[in-house]
Amino acid sequence: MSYKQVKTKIMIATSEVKKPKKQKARGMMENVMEQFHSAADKIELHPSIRKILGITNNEIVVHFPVKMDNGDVEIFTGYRVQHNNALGPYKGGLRYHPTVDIDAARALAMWMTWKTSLAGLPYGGGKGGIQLDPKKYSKSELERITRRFTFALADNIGPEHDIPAPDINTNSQTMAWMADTYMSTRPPAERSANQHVVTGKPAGSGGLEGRDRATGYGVFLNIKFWAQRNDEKLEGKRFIVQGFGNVGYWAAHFLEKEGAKLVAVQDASGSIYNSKGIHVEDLFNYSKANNGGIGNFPEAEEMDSKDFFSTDCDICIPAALGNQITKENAPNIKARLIAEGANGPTNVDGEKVLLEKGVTIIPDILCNSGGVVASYFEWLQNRNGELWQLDEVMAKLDKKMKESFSKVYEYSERESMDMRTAAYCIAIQRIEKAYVERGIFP
Amino acid sequence: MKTNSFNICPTCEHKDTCVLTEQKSQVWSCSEYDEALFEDEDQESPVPELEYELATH
Repeated sequence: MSYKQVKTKIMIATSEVKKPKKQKARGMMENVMEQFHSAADKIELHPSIRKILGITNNEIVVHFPVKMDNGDVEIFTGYRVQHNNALGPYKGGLRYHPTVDIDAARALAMWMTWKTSLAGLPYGGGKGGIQLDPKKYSKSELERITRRFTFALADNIGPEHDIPAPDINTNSQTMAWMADTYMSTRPPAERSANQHVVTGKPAGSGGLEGRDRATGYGVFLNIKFWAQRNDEKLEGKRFIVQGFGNVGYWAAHFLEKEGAKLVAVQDASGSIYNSKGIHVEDLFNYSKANNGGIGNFPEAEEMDSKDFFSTDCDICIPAALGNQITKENAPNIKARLIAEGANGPTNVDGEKVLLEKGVTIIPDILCNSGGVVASYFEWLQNRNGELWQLDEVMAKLDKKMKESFSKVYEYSERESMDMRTAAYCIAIQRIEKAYVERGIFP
Repeated sequence: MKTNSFNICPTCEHKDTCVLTEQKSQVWSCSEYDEALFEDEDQESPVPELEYELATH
């Protein structure tokens, strides 16, 4: 199918999508667009390139039938938004959720474009998913849904064109099904050469060793690089972590190894505090035994969740969800460094307060980019027919994250701007350069 | 481009007890999000233990 045909198909299909009701609160699209325009103004982005980057390249909507366990057939709607591919294949997750729609995918796809660009990867940005509630389906139904969706997307994804990854309610198993289905659609001699159509696969099926710790390790590295730049040691530093999932746990794990002290943790089950320090592995083992929650950990005190961000500490790692640091709690924050492990944990007003107080924020787009860098390593590993050892992966991650951090830190110092604005400027300038060098066809 | 209604809180198993936020209306990503992917216990084998063989080989 040609590009033009895809565009036509997309336009027809898009008109069938239900339009969501407008929300009063700021949505993620508005945030992403505001950050883009603010950085674009600062770098005086060429108006034509601003137009290109302000809109998505392709929006694919597919409706596909799947046979359920009871013999009934259900029709599902899947999306894939491809924002920009000036730097390389589209890259981004696929999420399964009842509220997935084209608008959500647009904002997240655009955000992926900036993230991959800043990380210096040869990728663009994409995002997608299926509108469904996964807990209503059996594992075998989810397998058939995933395989049929992959088949429906077939010509619009590919290892050198658009590379999906796990996201909300999708995991390494989902990616294994996708890889297998996509490979099955290729001629026999080409199948093995297409394993990198998705990343986030199980380690035994082309996945990367250490993928689980990549994002948290990246958060830790960013904190370490910040300390080095400021002639400070991590030893003895007090830190707090919101979210004790993969990102929060691994960031805390590596910080503790460097001698830093975890003094407070918050997750969905509660908030705990111990001024003498909370042993990360003990807490991890406790949470595993308690349905993943840290609440009631015996070697710490319970604290009021509203006071969590005002805890006395040097480093704060919001690694759970967005909009956590606001103008309401920012004035009480004691930390000198905020390392954003989550996506969008500091809102615009909260950030203003923190910057006025002289607090440094390592922005999400940089701080949590270890995950997408690991995806790139998995893709490279598959593409080159290699299998990397854990120590190799960590060493390569170290090098890549250092490059990104240094670029952002130096740019922010040189231009006297905060690290978030610097990160967006670098990301957009890299794409601008590609357009300037190549020109626009025809 | 416009605001969207994407929000993961309504399907999260912690939604009634979660202390992380009171604004459970526009959460689009969360480390604590939990939703049982596979309800069928008989089929609930962890991925790393799967004897996964590519059907294409």
